[in-house]
Amino acid sequence: MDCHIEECNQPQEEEDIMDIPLDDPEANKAAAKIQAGFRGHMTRKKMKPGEKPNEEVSSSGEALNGSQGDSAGGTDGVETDATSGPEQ
Amino acid sequence: MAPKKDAKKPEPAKKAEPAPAPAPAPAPEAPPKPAAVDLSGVKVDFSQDQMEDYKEAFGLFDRVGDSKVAFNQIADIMRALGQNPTNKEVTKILGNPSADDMANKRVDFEGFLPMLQYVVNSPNKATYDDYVEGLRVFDKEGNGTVMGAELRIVLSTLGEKMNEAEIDALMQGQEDENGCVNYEAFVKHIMSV
Repeated sequence: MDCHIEECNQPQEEEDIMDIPLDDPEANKAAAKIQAGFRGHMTRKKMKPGEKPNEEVSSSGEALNGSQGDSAGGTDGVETDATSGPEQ
Repeated sequence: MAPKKDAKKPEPAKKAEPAPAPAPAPAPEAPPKPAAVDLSGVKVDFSQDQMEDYKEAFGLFDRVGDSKVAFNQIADIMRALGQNPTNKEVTKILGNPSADDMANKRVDFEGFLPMLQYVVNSPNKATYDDYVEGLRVFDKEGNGTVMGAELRIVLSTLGEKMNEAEIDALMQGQEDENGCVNYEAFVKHIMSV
């Protein structure tokens, strides 16, 4: 007996509008490269007016700037809640 | 029962050097983290003008007044100076610091320079083509555009995830009335700053 399912050669985990290759190291590496470029761009953009860098600025994912009071951050489990540094 | 075989008599190790390492590598201890970077081998080679620029930028980030900046500011200073390091790269350069280190450890300008030089020397610099090709993957119709919504999801779920605020800032003004982004123009825009 054959269960004839159309186009069922691959396990359809999630038929979403997009197939995000979450586990693909190449895709992740490419994404990281793009994100690095984006973050660079945004930091530089922010630097322009007034030339004064961040108070909160780009949360680069990983515990950047303890001064971000709200940042739940924690994308990689790095949690810097308290502003350990002196806040002026 | 095999008799003891004394093929080699183990010599008392004076200097624990089991394997002849070509480079004086630090004792390897089961690394789940990426190998630390050896900054002492980095030759800082910036022009006088560059040094002045860097020193100025560095100073802007010093909010304590001790002529140093915190670990968690290093990535941003590098970005301000035109580099695009990944967070992972910076973490590696800083020697895989803990969250505590990131917030509390500080580095002075002299210490920062080799870090910056390391990134400047990094061979993996992304080019216009790299970005375009990376984004082209999501160009379903092959017409030079990607859906803004899809791009947002990719940015927030892959690689070094970005948060909503970052993505909003990034995407501002990039999506057309259909919510599509012309990614070549997008990349040019990104690279212009």
